[in-house]
Amino acid sequence: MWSYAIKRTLSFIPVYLVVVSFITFIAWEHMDVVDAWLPKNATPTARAEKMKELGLTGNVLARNYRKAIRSIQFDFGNSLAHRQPVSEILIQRSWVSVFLTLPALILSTIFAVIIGLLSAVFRGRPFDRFLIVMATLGMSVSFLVYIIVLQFLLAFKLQWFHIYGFDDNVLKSVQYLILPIMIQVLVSMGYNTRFYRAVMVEESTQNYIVTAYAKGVSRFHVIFVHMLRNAMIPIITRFFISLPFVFMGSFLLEVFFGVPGLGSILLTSLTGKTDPPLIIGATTILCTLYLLLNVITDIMYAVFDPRVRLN
Amino acid sequence: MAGMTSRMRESRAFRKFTRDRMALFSLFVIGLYSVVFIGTIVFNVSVEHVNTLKPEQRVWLQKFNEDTGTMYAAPSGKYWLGTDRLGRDIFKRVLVSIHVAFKIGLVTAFFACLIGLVMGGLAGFFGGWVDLVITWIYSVFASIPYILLVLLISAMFRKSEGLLGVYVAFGATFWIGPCRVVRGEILKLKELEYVQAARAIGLDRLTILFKHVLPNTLHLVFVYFSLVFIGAIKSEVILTFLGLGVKDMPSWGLMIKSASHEIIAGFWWQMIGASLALFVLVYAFNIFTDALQDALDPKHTQ
Repeated sequence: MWSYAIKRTLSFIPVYLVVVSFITFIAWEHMDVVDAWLPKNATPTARAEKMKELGLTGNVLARNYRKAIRSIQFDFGNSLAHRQPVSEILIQRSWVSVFLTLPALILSTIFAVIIGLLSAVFRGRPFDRFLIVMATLGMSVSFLVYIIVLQFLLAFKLQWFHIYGFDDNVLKSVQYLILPIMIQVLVSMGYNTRFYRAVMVEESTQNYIVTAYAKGVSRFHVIFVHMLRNAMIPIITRFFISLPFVFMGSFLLEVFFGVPGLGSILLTSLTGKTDPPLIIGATTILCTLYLLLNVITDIMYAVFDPRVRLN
Repeated sequence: MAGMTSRMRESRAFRKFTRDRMALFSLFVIGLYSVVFIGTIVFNVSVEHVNTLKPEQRVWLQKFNEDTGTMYAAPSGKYWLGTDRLGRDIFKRVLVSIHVAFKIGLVTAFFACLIGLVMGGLAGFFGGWVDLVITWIYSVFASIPYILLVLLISAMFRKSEGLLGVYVAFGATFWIGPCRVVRGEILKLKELEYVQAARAIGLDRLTILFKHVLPNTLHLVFVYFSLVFIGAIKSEVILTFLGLGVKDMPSWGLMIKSASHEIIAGFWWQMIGASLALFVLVYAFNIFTDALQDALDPKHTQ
């Protein structure tokens, strides 16, 4: 198993190298960095100085090669907008994002697995049809509409929740995060429920379920022990594959609710004044996470399902 | 499935689809939207700035977009969804926005499915180093969270005119799904007897792939076309809202953006209009995709 993990990690190295070099190149060369950081009518000398300051002089390949080599080693330098090392920003901000998105992911997975399970058990009956219709309706509403309408109704009109804000103290920030977490759960419920229902339906047609019933195992035991256990692989995969998004945070929620997470800062670095070190840093970390989680998911397969051989 | 001719499969799928009443209704709704889309092309009404048009077109468009004279008028018999900040008829704008949504949906779905079909087909059929290279390219794109990749690419094209940035951003992200699925299907198909037979009679490998194997994955591509179409429209609205998508055409994203400020002041109609139009389209397409999947895939049952 370990040799497999190492082999697979090594096979991801070229992907990592290309992603980081590519992002380094486009962030510095194709996003109008100089224009963004100069006043509107800058003189040519001011422009030349700015280019020198940002390291945009000399041979294109040589300068980007140097920058890419540093990025690959997680040395991202200082953010242009925040005048602070990018690595510090990433650590501080991504934890804020995690506070918002991890509870949402966990809640949404638990609810969706249970509802998907119920839906699969009552397959074809009115209850199942009702759940499918609800899930399809839920996933047809735009994320934006969920946020705008619920923030307006629940926080502004009814004043049940805070409209905006965050507190560095974890416990105090909970009051601000309840509504955004609820919205995130609601948004992802539709897709997740349908996904887990399909998984459970697939499991429920397997022979081992028939055998279990034939042996006289109770229905409750079959569903919650046998079926759920075998459905763990897709559940774990989906959960792990979603984790990079947890660290990135949901930029829409963060912008609307004033949560200073990685998502909102990444968005301003892309839509406002271009901030290449931050863009490169965030993308590199998220890509690394994705690749590592892929390896971990594969190993989890082998742990949960002895039939899976890793080689 | 192997023993069934494609015509048998099609007619069975057609019967199964037409028996499903919800599916037919969703098709009817999609048909209505398509009619409006064709209308916006015929009458060329989806431009915000009139300066680029020919004189006679300009007159017509100005007449079409004629100021109602009242801003923020509430919905009434005359203006079904009221008017906006500039006194423009919101119902008309909701309809015209179908143009840009469909355009982005169709272009993205076409290119994503084409690239996915060809890449997935080559990777699955030839295996070896072709497969290695293609799965590698695909891992590069898949390893950046999809929404970040879309933002990155559209930020690159921030200064460019028109929708090029949106097309490139969506094209680069949405081909991954169809590619993976087609590759998986081809891996199964190429082991079947008919492919071996085609090889035995000495057919060229590319001919086998493009004439005999890829057509058998089309049912998957249809489903993905519909999934990508709707995914692109939903993403377009968010991208436009963030200022990186559509700029100079009426779009639901732009409408939701201005509505998000108006709603607090009590002007809810723009929000309702744009989001309802988007919702109905997405919902109809979700039902349509489900029915399509049911009808085309013998294993997929509700």
